[in-house]
Amino acid sequence: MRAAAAPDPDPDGVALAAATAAGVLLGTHAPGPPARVSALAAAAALVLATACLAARRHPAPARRGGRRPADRGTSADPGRARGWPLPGGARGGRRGVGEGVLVLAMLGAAGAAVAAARADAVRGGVLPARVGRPGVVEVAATVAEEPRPLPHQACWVVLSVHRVTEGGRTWRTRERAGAVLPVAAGPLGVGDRLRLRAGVGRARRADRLGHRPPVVLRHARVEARAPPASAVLRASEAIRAAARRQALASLPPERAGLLVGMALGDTSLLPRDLDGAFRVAGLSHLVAVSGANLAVVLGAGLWLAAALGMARPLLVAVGIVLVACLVVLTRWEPSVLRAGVMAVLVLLGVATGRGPGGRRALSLAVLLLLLADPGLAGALGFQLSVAATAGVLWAGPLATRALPRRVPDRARTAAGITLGAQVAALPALALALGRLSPASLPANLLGLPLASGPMLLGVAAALTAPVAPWLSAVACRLADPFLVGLVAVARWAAGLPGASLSLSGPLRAAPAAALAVALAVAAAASRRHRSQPAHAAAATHPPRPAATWTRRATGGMDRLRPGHPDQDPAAGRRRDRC
Amino acid sequence: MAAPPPFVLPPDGARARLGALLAGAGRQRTAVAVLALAAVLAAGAVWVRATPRPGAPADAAGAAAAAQTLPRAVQGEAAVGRVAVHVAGRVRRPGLVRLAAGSRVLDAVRAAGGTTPGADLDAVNLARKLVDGEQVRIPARGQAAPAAATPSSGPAGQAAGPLDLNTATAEQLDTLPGVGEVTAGRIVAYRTAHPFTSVDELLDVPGIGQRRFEQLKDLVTVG
Repeated sequence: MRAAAAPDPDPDGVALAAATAAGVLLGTHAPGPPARVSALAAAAALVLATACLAARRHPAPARRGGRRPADRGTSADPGRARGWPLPGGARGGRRGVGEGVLVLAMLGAAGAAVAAARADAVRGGVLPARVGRPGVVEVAATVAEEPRPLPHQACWVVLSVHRVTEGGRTWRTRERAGAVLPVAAGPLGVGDRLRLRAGVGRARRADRLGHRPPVVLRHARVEARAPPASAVLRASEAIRAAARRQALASLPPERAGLLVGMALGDTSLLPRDLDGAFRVAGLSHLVAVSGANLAVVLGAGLWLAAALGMARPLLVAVGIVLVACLVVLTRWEPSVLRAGVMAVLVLLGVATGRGPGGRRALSLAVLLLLLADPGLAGALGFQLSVAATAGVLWAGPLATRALPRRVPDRARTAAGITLGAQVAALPALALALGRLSPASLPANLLGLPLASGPMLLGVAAALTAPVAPWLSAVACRLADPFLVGLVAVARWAAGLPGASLSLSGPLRAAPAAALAVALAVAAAASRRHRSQPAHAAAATHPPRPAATWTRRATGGMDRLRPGHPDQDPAAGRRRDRC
Repeated sequence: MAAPPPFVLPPDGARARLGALLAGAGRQRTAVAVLALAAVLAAGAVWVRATPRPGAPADAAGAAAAAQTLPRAVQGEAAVGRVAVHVAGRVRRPGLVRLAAGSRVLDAVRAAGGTTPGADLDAVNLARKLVDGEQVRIPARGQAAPAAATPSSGPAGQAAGPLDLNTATAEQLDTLPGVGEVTAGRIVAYRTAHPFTSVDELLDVPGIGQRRFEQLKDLVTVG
């Protein structure tokens, strides 16, 4: 019955994630030296955490631990009934409220401590102190992120610097720096070890948490280079290189670049004009790998494994290994990280017999990732991915219900997902880039159904490229018709009049404000519904099983969840099938 | 779908909802506390690792290679009786070199790896004694010999370095080789529309072709 209470947004999971995000923002922008902010916040987190751990458990609510069938029908709040890591239950008393405040404050303090520690590490590096000084430093570094091509035979590389030598003195350190390197220096991959000589300059548009590095190595010359030290990175680089070669051998260059981008997030082969067309059409999430990619591949992998008759624990293990492989293969793009953590949470939930639904998994994934790497908070890819997923999970069911019932169910669900993602991503895009793409709605409605084919086939082609090139070539050829369609959709949508509008100044916030107003109206409307008797509410809005949404957002592994028959009668049947 | 099973609606009212939310968050305190502690400890470990500390070059091979590639002048920081000059233009390794006080311009050019083809050595006085903090620019053949940039005291001395395309005035741009009043105006007009993000974008400025860009790219920078 979650659908009937759809505006109820699994509130405590969202509150936990929001407290962490607020803490990270506070720690990043707090006045005062980051080291002091970090120490204070860490001390506060320590005290609050001790209080949390020491607090005596209040008498367990009746539902705790058990999921007796008798309880299910009377679940007061189905959203919370899927709580995880701890199960939810009937409401605690006053005491529970106090503990809630404690937990949220502790998460905020921990977020602030983590972010401020990072800001201090970024600010206190060896290289930032050398910005603007004449002279050359020698730097030993590894390539930290996939190099991005620039015009004029150059590429932008983010380096993780280990050692800096200047005038005979050496420092050991661990900091980030960007560099513009000529393509002639040879193709670079993540993990490549370099020794450079370069001047140090300040980067434009740095951020305090180092996601965009604060310094740029200027006029860098590569003195020496070596392949990655890690065997995993070497193997994945071999796969990526083989996939590039195979795609170029089997497809025209334009579509080869698109396929490699969609499957692996490697946009180095993509022509600039096509990249631009996808951006204007609001389809750029397809060109670089996104969370949807992981969902599609994981869903297919689990389906295959289930068809082979694997038992559930084995399926979970296969799923987690697959997620890890994909994250490494796509170079931990923020959106893939987000999807990967969500998927692992859901899979672990399957293994332990009780787990989070899609909404709670998203909240927990945001919480975990922000605590592990507060720099993600400033990464546009992460923000957009979270916004779009939230749109799919919260706004998607509403959008589907609003569509006419004559449309077949499957198409309605797919359109609802697209609409939900767009509704959430457009304001975020407008805020961050000052761009509003009205064309993205038709482009996504037409393009997304075409996208899962190349995503799946692209990953299959990449994985088979080093061992069975002929199989890989077949996969590339099979993906070709989809790619032709996608390119046509992108070019058509980009050519529409008013495909992309630029917003400036306060106008940037207009779409977000419109969304906020719409949400407020929806909340008010839902309150009116709630005051009606339950059956009347259910009757006016025939609910869609929420499990469908979770499944779509998490790539199908939700199918394996132990069923919640009160929420979705089909879940029980699905479980029997697995 | 059959008739919906009976269920209890959540309580109405903002207060009740907030109470339910906080109670829900409070129930997860143990797991969240452990998680937060782990995150803070991990961040502390990362912070300790990121703190720069002096160290020797790790491997002997790396050190040997560094010694080979670094100009001899750069080794040894003690700047007693030494001058530091910036050698720029047509040399193999443009950048800062440190030399014994009393060295000549020729020594600085040698320390910078010698000249590249097309350098016009007649345009500079190779015998001149170096002054600490100056810039020695080796022009290309056919280029007007620039006045030697002499060191000045304080931060103004940095003006001798590469010009920042986004902040330089039209007059400063005018001093670049091959850039006259008109081109300088075009660069300023271009950057007000699209601020430079890399030196390569100079090629997008009308009137600057590959040839002129080659002359300019080492003399300008983007801050």
